[in-house]
Amino acid sequence: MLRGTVAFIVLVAFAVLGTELREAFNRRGLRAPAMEGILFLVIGFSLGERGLGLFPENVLINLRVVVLFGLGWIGLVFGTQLDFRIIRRLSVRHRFVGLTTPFIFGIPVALGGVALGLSTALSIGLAAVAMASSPSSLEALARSRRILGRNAVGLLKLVMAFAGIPAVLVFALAAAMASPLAVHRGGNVPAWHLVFVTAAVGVVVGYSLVVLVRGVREHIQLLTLALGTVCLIAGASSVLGLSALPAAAFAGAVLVNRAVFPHRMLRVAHSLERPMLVALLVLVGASWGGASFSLPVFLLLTCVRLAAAGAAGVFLGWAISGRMGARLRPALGLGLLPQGELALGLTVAIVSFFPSQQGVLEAVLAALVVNNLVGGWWMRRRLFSGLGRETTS
Amino acid sequence: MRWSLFLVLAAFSWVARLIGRGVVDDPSGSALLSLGCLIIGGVLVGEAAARIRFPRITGYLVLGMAVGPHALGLQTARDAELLRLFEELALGLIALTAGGEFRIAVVRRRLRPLLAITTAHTLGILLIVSSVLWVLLRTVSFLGPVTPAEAAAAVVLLGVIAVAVSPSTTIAVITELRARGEMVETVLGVTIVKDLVILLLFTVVNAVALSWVSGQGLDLSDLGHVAIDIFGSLLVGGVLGVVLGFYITRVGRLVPLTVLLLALASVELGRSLQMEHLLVCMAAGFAARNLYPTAAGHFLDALEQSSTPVYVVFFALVGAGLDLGIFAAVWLPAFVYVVVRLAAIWVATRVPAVAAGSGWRVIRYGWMGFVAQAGLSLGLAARIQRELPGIGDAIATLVIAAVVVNQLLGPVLWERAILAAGENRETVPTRKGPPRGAAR
Repeated sequence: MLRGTVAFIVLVAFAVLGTELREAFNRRGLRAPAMEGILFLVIGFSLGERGLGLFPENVLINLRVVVLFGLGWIGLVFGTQLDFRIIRRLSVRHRFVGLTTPFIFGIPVALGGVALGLSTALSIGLAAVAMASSPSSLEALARSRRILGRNAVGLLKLVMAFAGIPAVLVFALAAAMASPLAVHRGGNVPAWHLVFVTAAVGVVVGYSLVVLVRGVREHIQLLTLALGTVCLIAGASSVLGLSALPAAAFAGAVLVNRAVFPHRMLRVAHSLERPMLVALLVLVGASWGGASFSLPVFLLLTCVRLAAAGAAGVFLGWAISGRMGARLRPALGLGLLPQGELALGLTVAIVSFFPSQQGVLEAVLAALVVNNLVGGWWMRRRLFSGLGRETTS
Repeated sequence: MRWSLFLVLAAFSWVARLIGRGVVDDPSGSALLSLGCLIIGGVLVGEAAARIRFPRITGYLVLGMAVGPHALGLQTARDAELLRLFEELALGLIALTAGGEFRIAVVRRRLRPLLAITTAHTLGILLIVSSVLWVLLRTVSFLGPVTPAEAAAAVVLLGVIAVAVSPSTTIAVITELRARGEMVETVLGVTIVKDLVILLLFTVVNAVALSWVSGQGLDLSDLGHVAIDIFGSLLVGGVLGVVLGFYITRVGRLVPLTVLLLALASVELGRSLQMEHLLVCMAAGFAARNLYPTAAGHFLDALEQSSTPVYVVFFALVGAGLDLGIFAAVWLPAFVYVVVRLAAIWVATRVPAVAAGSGWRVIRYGWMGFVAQAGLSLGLAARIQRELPGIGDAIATLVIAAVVVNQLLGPVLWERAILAAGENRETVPTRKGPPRGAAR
């Protein structure tokens, strides 16, 4: 039985290890966030009550502060990627496609979840996970094939970057529906009002941070203010029964678009991202109660997502693929299959938000692995080979 | 503008709690909300304090007192319990800094004044404070109805607690002002050595006091245990320091995170092995700094990099634990105790400093570095309260009230001393005109 401090030491140790591992992967030109994530979940599980028993339940309750804070920090990092100055440079059509394509993945998953008898809130939460794609795997592969500059790759990166916005908004809705304050949970506030409250929490605190960091230059001062802000957002969201991740994402977006020197805040936000994600994954792995594997959820998140990738490819090909060959167009959707940090963060958020649905966790994680392995393989085989052939010809 | 924003945020967090109360029971969320208010408010209050030439940590303390469970109640007692982990982490990092700032070369150079002042403080403050309080207790019964034996036990115990200082406060002000020089080195050295001595002294005096009160023979068996604890703490800390120094020299990657890890490990090892965790951390910092001089730069940089959030969190949480209400209840004896202690510190610093041939800075201003009291004094008071059920409560109340004053007064005096001695390297911002010390 470990005390809270020792458990925290273990977490920090793995955060150090995780950051080192990421750097080692980066030095070798590899990017596999989901696979690294699974590794730390497995480590967490082996340290948890079902494994070595080093993280008993009372310690995990004490470390919930770290989970809430970590989710807030990941949300802040995601939010800082939404630079409207860049987004405004894109055409309206590109923006529309970028924002709507993720729903091709999300809607079938949400409907499938409801059909499987899951609660509406959880189904929508799973849809949010299904919507989150990762541009990093695509980018790494495209770079290795020397086709990074191709239009199709740029288009996919754009769609993936946008995919996070609806994914986070949809998760905010799921969290609002699961909040004890929501009408159908016995509270007296409509769920959609709570989505606005989530946004308001993020925007108010985000604007406050923008003003607070004015004239502050030192990294440590900026980091201190960012720490305080994330604590406030995570705390306020939690006491309202909402999720910290979307609220912090709103704050991050405000910060990067309104701060006088956004690059400084970006550096601050990214400095803690990796250790936080690793700590979260270890904690989630440790808290897994060993519930039975939910095969229907796994199939929902893999098969439906694979099928949706084809539909998304058709949609993208119809909408904005330009002069791309007709045979290659449907393969565009395959580029959206791999998932990364945001999907992992949303999975952690689901676990912390729906603790009674432990059986879903391993299904979501297994689906993440399959999506990355199969998606990566398929993407290489069909999309990149096709693009490579087009370049050669 | 920034202040009004903070007020908006504080009101916002209060409203969030109000809405969620009764419907959402999330102690972790509440603790994070308190922590967020403390950090953001602490940064602003620290800046304001620096502008009016007060130490930032005084600002953090005042903020903690204002929002703590004894005042506005924005931070509840349950929040403080959940945030204990961060307080311990911060304390570990502060103790590592204290050890890291203590160099062998300095000890050798300042050995005479260091020994002279430590001895004078240990015996002088104990004697002066105990004698004055004894005389006072004969005329005014400020501890309630007590027997002569209990009165004697109480005054010697109060005398011992008067010797204790707060190393964390001393090091925080030094770090804030980036102070270097004869006086800073002497005060820091004495503070660290006194931290070792006070544990032994308290054990002896406590045993004597217990024998007086109970009427039984003197039992000094604890003394051996305490000596072993101290030795063990230094040994464990030394080993951890060697590990840290080796890592920084050979690997040198992710030093801030590794230092954080070591601070936590030192605190936890110290506690689980029943040792003084503060000493473990200090010894670790001392070993890393002195055995691996090439690693010292990275090590101290890493500690300095983390200093702002660490000090904000630690001192705001310390402030939240201070209860002004207790001071109001026993203000007169507490005031007398504080004044007598100040006078004793002045005498016990000035006389040995002159005798040991210290510079004018130590002679004139050195005493101001020994005023602050915090965790150690409160810990000793809690032990007295536990072991002497009769008069223990009265002693503990008096000590807590005095600590409130000393902890608020100490950093201010220590900063004044450093500025007056000209040993600061960090400029102090002022409201009007360029910062003091800045090139014109």
